[in-house]
Amino acid sequence: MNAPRIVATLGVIGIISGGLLAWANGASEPRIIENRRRETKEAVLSVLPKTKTVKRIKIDGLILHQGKDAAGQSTGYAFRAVTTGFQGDIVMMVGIDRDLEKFSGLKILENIETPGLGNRIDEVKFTDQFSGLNGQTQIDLVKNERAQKSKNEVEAISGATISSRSVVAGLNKHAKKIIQALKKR
Amino acid sequence: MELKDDLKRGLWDQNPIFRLLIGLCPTLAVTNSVINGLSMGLATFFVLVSSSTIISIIKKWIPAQVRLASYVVIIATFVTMADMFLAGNFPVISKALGPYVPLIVVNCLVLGRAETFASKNTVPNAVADAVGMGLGFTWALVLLGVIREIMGSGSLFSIQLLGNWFQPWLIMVLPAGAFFTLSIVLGLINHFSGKKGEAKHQH
Repeated sequence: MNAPRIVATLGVIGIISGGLLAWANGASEPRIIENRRRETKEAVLSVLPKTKTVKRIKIDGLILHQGKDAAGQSTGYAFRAVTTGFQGDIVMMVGIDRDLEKFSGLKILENIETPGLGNRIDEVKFTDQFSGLNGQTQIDLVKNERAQKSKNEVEAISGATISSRSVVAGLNKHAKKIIQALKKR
Repeated sequence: MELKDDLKRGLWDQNPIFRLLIGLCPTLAVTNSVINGLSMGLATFFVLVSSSTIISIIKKWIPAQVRLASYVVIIATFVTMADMFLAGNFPVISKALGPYVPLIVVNCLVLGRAETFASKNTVPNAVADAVGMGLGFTWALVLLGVIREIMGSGSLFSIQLLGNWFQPWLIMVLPAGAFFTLSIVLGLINHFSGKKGEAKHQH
């Protein structure tokens, strides 16, 4: 046994590793943050039509993104919502128009639902249904029938009722809170 | 010259996936598309070559009692660097591979080569062995990815190959498809190379 040598060996390896990692982290962190920021901005742009610039605002501890068009007019608000899906979290970006009445768009950012079934929630055919729906009242999910916009309905993806329901439930839950907070302002 | 043999070993005779059957978790998990398989293969390649090189250089200074601990720290350092690099430069791939990049730390292939080869051989031999094993691992993952992406999505590198007439076999991109593909490819390789018979004699 040679205890000092063992400790010294591990110590030296640890110090060198730590140094290397600090260097690698310094080199990649700005890019990772930049990627995240760009991703968020792209998501906001896709749920708030005509938006040119995006500003981050904070109300009651909620983080929102306010969109403005080329003329500086508000195009509405977007927020990130997390809901529990069939297999894990579903993260989405939701857009509300500037009058806080209707949804202007929805985009699924992350999901680990079943490929080919649940993960079709990120298809435009499903997400487009949310544009123009009333944000003041509940959105209902319908199965095996045509959804009617006037009744605030969304048609579930066949074979993926749970994933579809999760998106609708998450939206109902978060939108209410956000709209209330914005109205108080 | 032994170098050539060390290099060639991992490509076929001792291919980590099809011959040694090690490092199968990431193999099964990420090969639902070619690009994921290729990225995982290259990330592992980088970790394997870097760690084998370093371990082979410093092998004589490492006391036997802490050799595994030392290897793991060295491997983990390179894995974390690869993970940061992917997250910074290829965020989409990084997201698709998820936890499997950090898990390269515990890939038996990497630790296995460090313990059985790099710690006992000269630097050039260790590098040759790691390059061969890394390439062997990569081509195996790419092959599985090609089969699963074509059958499961009708595409290759996300470019649609097969027309609308093709109904994708969803199961091929699901975990079950990974087992089917690996076992069938493995079976075919064993059948045509006659290794199964040899293995029987050894028992």
